[in-house]
Amino acid sequence: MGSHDDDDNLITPDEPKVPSADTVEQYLRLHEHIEQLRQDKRPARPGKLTSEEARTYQAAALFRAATPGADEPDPDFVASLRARLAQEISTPPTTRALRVARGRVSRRGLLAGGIGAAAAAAIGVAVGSALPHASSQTPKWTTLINQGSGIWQAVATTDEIPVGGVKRFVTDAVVGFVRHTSEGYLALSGACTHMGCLLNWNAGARTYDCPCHGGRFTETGMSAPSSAVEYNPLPSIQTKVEDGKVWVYVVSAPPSDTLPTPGGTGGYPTR
Amino acid sequence: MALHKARTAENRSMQADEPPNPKQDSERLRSLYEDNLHVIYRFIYSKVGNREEAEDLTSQVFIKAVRGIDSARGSASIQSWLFQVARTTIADHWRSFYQLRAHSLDDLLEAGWEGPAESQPVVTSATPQDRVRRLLEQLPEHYRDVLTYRFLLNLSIKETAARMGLSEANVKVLQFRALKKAGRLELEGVQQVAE
Repeated sequence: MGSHDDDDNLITPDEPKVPSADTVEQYLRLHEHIEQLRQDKRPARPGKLTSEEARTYQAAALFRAATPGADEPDPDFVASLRARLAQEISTPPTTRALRVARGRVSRRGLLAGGIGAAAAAAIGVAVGSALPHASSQTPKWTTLINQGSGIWQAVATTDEIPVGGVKRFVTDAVVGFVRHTSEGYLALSGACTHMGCLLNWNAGARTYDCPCHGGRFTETGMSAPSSAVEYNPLPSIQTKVEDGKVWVYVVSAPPSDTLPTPGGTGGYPTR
Repeated sequence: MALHKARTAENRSMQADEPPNPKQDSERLRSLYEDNLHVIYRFIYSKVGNREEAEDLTSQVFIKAVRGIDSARGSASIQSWLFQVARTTIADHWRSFYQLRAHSLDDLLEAGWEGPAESQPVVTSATPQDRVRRLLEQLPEHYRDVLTYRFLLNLSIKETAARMGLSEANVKVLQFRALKKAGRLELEGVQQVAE
């Protein structure tokens, strides 16, 4: 890092300095970056930066964080992350250890979005035998919970979804879609396998669209050809019909304040 | 919920004065995020400055943490360990975002990072607001003004230009230089702490 400070030739209102061409580019690039931060959007990569330039961008991030209210987490985000983590920790330790081991093998993949696949998987779906495409495209995630450790929850009445219809459902830990086909009712996890963002059903295109990074899934849960990137298929969820209702088999996520027994928290306060 | 005796034993080594408890393992994980989600999110936000990335990275940190909780053994506190996870996650992110070599990241990571993470719990008392206030005090007046208008008051380039009596192009130049200077001051602050 240079010791002299060429920036002490400051621009002042009365004597604007004409900047050289490449620095104009720098100003504009940073400006674009700041505007993206002000919209709370993921900024475009600024390209290769020197460490001094990176520090300038870091200062922009810091100042943005000081904008009143900016660094307050979105309650929806907090709630959904909590649900995912509650789900994650209710999986048996052996499964967890297995996934950790696997994560270690492909750290790069983990960062490139593999973790998102796991995160979405963590949203807690009992992947039954009914993963129709598992043989052709082996998903990175495996069985999420053991059979028997989930619960059945009713998410719709049979007459509310016509054949061809799709209904979104929300349980304590799972957001998903149940679809009425000629073969019956089928359900899928509603979290994108990229980063776990919640998908929207696009009735026109008959796809599940991810609002975050352009992921798209066909109604059967496969990565759609129009997806920005080919992602792992959506985990399927077991369904059954009983008492005129459609049930899905999901992991229960007890609220955190009902779980712990007194004295069991080892000095870490619970809420 | 299945629990391994071995894991319980490990937990006891970390929290020695506590009787074994079958719920302890998952409870420990639960408190891990209940207690730290907001503080980690804010820390990450101060490094990336936008919600989309802050949410992605926060999710990554906690999922890694929940899966790798066993490696927290021996850390001074769960929180300092968690910040360590956050640091490496941010470092990985920056490496690709800024296309920097690894060693260039050290300075960046040190900024706002108080105290050696391994030896003591991380002090998170310096909020971005505090750090920004401290930086503003050290900046020349027009730098201070442009950053105040643009960030603390969240004004557009146009509004800032009107208030400062500058052209919009000049505001863009000024904010660049002000942030560059602020970045340097942050680095100097880190180096002083390290000495």
